[in-house]
Amino acid sequence: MLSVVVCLSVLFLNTCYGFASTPDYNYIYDDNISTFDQAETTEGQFRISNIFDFGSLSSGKYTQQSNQFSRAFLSNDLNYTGTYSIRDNLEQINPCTKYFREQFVISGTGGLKMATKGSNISFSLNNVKMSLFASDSNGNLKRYSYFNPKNIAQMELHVYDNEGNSYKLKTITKNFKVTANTLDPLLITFGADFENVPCDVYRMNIVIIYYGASGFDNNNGDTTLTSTTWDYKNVQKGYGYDNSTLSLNVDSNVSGLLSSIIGFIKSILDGVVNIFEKITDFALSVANSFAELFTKLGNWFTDLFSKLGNWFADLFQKLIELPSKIWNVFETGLKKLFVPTSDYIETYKDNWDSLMSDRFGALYEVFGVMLDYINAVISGGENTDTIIMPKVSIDLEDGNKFSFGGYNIDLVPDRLEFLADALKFMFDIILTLGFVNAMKRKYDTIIGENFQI
Amino acid sequence: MIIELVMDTIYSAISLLTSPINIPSLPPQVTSIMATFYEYIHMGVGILKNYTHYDYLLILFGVVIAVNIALNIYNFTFYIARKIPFVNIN
Repeated sequence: MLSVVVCLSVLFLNTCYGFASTPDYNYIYDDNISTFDQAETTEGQFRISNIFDFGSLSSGKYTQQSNQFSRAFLSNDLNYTGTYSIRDNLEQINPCTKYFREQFVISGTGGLKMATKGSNISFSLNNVKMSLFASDSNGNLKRYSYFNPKNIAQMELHVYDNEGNSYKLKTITKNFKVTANTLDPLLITFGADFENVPCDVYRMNIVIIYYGASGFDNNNGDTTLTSTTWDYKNVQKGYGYDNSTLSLNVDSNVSGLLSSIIGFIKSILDGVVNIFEKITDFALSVANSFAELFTKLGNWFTDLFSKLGNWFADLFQKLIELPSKIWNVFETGLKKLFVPTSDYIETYKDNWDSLMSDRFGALYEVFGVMLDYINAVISGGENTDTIIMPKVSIDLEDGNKFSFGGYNIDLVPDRLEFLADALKFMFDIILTLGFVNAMKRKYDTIIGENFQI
Repeated sequence: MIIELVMDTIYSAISLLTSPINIPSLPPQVTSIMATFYEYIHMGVGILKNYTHYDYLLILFGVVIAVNIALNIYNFTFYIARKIPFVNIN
């Protein structure tokens, strides 16, 4: 009896010690969600099991009991052994990634062998806690939500933003089909999708803690998984035991999430910068618009005055030109009425010549010849400074001809032109004296004999 | 237009009036002689140009002709005037 009491006392103390000294570890054994909350209040010292992308060594061995995955499966062996500060990664998770995933690889000689080939096996994890942590503006860690620990396939996760708004996460139920009743490893994936969660929720860090899992449950109702030894390992890190036994591997894509969160934060900052840039651009555009407006108004008035000035100038110019245009019209009409064209005059003259030649013949030709003689006297021959002796031929009695002449005699030798000028000047004097004498005689004839020059 | 119409009318009238007249042209011999004489005049003027300033000579020649014509007109006018008794010009 005493031994029983001592054992119970030890068990109780161990249990209490576990809850008190290492709450983050011990809580994993507990399905009570409230105690889990207490563990989360330890900021900066919160140690978790199997946080995404931080399991440096996640492997172990357990013995399945009562058709369940042992609590030790996740608590003792998949814990994070290092010291982890959530704050270190607070800014690296972006809920805008919309989903997260966990992957298990189960292999071994135990339960999978019990399932027949082609049978459907549903695998679900229950007693699993998945919590979202975030820091407030002061850097204080807060838990925002957690999974329903009863059944991961039916759990709901809510994310809260800074305003207290809740956003539901859609969970995923994964059914697995046994491809062979051999030792082929089975890949199990589970996760949750963020549904209608805006990207502007507060920065969050995702922490997932496994409380436990249900065992295999095939459609044949065979539950002979009891007392089967299972091994697991973290596939991602490559640690684990012999693949001949059941291994549980945990993988995550959180590294991608972290990168995307960084991109998200950067996008937010870029968005803020863009907003300010847009505001600045807007202000500048407004200023430019007003400046352009005033410029256009100024140009409009300038154009208006210019156009008005040009209009009045054109008007006055047209008014000034109006009399001349009227006169031009009148003059053109008069010219057309009274002034014959040059072509008409030429044609008229030719017609007259033709008419006179036809009618008067020789008389008209003599008249024309006399005009030619007068023109010949007026225009005269060319001053060649030579004497051209005409060619003369005389018919002799014997029938022969005597001819002479036809010579050009140079009157003015080269470089003696001044002699020709002096000769012309002398003849001019003689002609002038003769002209004056002739005029005197004409004058005497008309006026009287007594006139003397 | 009006002047052209008047000129055409005159031309048509003269043409109509002179339609009976049909004097023959000069015979070719006469035309040849007159052309030769024209050449002589032309040549003679060229000779004069060698000894005188022909433009000056033309001016004097024109004046002499004008004076002679005026004198003839004057004599003819007074010849007519002397025939009129009551003008009493001697």
